[in-house]
Amino acid sequence: MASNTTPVINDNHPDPLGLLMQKAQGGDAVAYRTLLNTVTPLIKSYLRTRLFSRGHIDDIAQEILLAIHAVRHTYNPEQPFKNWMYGISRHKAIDYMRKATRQNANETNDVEFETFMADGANNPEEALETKQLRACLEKLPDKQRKILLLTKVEGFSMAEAGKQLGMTESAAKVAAHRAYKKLKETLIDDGY
Amino acid sequence: MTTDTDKLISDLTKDLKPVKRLPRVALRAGLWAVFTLGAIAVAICAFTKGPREDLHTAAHNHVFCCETLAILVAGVLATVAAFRLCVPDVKVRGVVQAMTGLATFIWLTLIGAQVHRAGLVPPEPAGEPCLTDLSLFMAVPLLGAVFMVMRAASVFPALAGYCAVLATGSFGALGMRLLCANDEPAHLLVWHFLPVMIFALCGLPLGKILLKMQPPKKIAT
Repeated sequence: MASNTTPVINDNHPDPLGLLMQKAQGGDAVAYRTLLNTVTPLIKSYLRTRLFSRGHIDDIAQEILLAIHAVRHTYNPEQPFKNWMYGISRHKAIDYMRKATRQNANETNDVEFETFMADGANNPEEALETKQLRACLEKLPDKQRKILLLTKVEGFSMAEAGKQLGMTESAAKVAAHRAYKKLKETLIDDGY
Repeated sequence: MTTDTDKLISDLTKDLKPVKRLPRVALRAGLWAVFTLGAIAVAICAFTKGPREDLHTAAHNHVFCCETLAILVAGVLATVAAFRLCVPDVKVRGVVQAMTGLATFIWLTLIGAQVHRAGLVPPEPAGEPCLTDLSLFMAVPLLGAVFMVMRAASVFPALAGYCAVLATGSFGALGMRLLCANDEPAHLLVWHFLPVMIFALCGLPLGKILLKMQPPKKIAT
């Protein structure tokens, strides 16, 4: 059960984070929340030392938290928690960058993207009604929605849109890719 | 911390269920090795003509003993490496790479020794049954290894796949040494040893596909 109880970290324990993870493995949601809140800045700091840009750090950190959650049963209390956590972080960071590099290599020029939101869209007969599309856009996370609107509605390039949102061009492309994927899923879920 | 991260943490901690902790690496590796050796022993006794008739004589041959011992050591090293790779640990890489390297070195030495001993003599063409038996010896233990590795979290999936297949192949080859009475170097090279290395190399892409760490589907965005 999620709760907003004040974090409890036992500083006298040789591995306080490990202790929290042990409790989390037993189903203690408060300890788990404390643990995740404590490790998130550590993960971001780790990623920063790996020279990731600000735009990437949040995304990778979230992927790492998901991975920690998925494999929390593999943590052994006899092992230092940070070694375990950084092992996952390293793997996910490399994985993420590989994906991003592959994706950047496959992307076409910005001007070739469909302008599906604009008037007189590429294929007006098949285009979705603006109102329905906007409803789907509202379901996207803030950053993803903004990147789509800036590039597809207002006509900014990826670099310009990224600059407005405080991201690098590559980070903007990654965010846009995620937005397309999410939008597609939302449209399918809504019966299109 | 961003709002997205806060929301993710809330989602992850909501309705948190207790998890069953993975047993220690040594215990899991030991269990799998015992299961594998047991399965191969049962297969030799139940599905073939039984161990080679000259096993007692072969046991006094130092080349046979050295080779068998080397295969066993390579199998144990690859087993421990495969299971160790399945538990995330930022400091594990060096040790595991050394173990994997040593197991591979043993196999390459065995292959090199057979090449040296065999010279230019081609193997007799009737060695396919050995390859079939080796594959059968490997099948069930490999499924077990893949299942056990998938239960964990491999941060080096390709290497874990390689080690798992190398371990299975090593134990399979060990079984073959006890089953096949043909000790001709060319036969051992072509029908026993080279297939193990080829299978192990196939483990690299297999591991990359099967053993990749996946996010929980329920919360993945």
